[in-house]
Amino acid sequence: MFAYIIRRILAMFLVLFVALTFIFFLLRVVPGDPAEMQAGLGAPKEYVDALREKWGLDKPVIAQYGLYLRQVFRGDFGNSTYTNLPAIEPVLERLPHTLLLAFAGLGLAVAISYPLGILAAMYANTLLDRAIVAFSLLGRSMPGFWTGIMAILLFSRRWRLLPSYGSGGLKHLVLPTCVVASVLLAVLVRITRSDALDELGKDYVRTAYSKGLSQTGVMIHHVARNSLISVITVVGLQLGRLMGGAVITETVFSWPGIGSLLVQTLGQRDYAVVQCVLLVFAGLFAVCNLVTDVLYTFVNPRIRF
Amino acid sequence: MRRHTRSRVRKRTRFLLSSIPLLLFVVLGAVGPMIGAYHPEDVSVHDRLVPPLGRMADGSVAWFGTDSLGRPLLPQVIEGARLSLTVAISTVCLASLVGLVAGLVAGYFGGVADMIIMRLVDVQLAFPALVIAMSIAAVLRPSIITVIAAISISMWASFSRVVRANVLRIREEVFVEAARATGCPNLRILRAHVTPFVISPLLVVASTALGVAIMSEASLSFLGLGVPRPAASWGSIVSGGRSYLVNGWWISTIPGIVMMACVFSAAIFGDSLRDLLDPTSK
Repeated sequence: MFAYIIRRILAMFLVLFVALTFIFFLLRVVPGDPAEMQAGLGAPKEYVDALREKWGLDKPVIAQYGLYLRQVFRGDFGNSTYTNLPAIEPVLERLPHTLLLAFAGLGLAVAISYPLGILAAMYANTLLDRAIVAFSLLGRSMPGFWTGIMAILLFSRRWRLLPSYGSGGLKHLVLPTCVVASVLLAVLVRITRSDALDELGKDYVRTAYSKGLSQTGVMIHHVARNSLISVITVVGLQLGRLMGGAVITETVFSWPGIGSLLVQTLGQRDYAVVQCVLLVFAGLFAVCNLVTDVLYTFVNPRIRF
Repeated sequence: MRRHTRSRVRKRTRFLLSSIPLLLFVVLGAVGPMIGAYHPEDVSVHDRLVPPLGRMADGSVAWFGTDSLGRPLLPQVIEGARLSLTVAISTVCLASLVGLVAGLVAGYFGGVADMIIMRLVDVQLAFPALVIAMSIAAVLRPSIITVIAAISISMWASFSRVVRANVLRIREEVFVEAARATGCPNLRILRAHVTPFVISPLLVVASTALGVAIMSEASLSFLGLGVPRPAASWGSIVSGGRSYLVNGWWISTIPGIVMMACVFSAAIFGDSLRDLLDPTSK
């Protein structure tokens, strides 16, 4: 078991390394010269050349890559081409906001979808079930940015209940969290329902009923706990979608997280910060996958390594 | 026997019925712009922000209202349907093709090829799909080709995984072994024996991916990384309407509703296709 975790951690580092390489070369394929962009229109050629030399952009790509690797292992991610401050700073500053939003959204989604899915399975093929399934299918079709804008339209503009941008209090957290949760909700309800239905067909459930356990009892003590396995798996698989959704939500609500930072710096062609953000995304994702895998082995006693 | 046939007929009818909404959208995208063309240069100050079903200066009805430049929204939404479906279908086809080839090579030949392809897939799956699409779309020149490329690249990995898993399964079958024993060249085995069994699962994943592709394209356009204006994409129309939420709510609302309907159609199409191809479902 311990060996498995160690192996997974090593694999994670390998993937992160390859990801780092991928990011580096991706941003070097770009048309457009960051030195020119920074210097601005009409800047003298000597200034642009000096800037390029300062950032090492005149060296061959391989040399730049080697330099970058050495810097990364030292913990130096370069300076932002715009603010000239360390690129890692805005990322670290905004990361907690993204984490807050992501986990709040995840928590809300699981808290709503789990009982709904179990309920749908309990009353399978009734009106309630069909309503829940239809609602989840509809939710799957709603684009995150549209949901966010509709939320702003209704709750901020029409009814003036909640703020529509920025962060700073619980009030600011409500709308973005709901939007992030909505992206995930539909999928989770569906999977929970289908898994609970699978469980209900199993022999041990029949045994439990024949022992005299009530329907609620069976549901709570047996089916709900075993459906947790697939919920964890699905949450793990949907983490990517969650983080992608966070990017959109942060942009809609001007939430100061790394998602909105990515959009901003992509537009500015601020390579150093973009690389940082992408690496942080990959790292976050890798860590979450690792945690999901390990959690899975705890929840499902049949899996042993 | 009769129960089996009844089930097949039921699934087939359900499939045909479920494909109608999506087909309607395809027809809308194909034929619509010819009937109600979108003229982005047709700016009209008089017709700014006319609400849905209101009348424009020339007397015609603006069914979906007009935008901040006085252009009617309905032709833009129809044009958006064409754009979104073109991008989505192209993307899914391209990603399926790449995923199919990669999965076949990785699964059938194994060894180094498998290792390389699977590591590529792992790296790809280490990032959220939207983030990959965003990064690629941002570094290349904005155009419809860029968007298709960006979304395809963010998608192929999951396709190749599905294909590879199925190839690994089929590879061990007796008929494949028999083909190899009779001296059948690898390429032919792949084409004639392995691929037919891999197509079904791939189709299922592809049809689900259609809805995802539509939403990805809209998200990219919303972020300003998609097909540039004045080309009308649902995402960019919604994004443009953000400044007019109070006195022009329809600009952001209506394209979203239409988009939701489109993705919903794709979703039920995908679900019914999956049920059709799955011998174990009722």
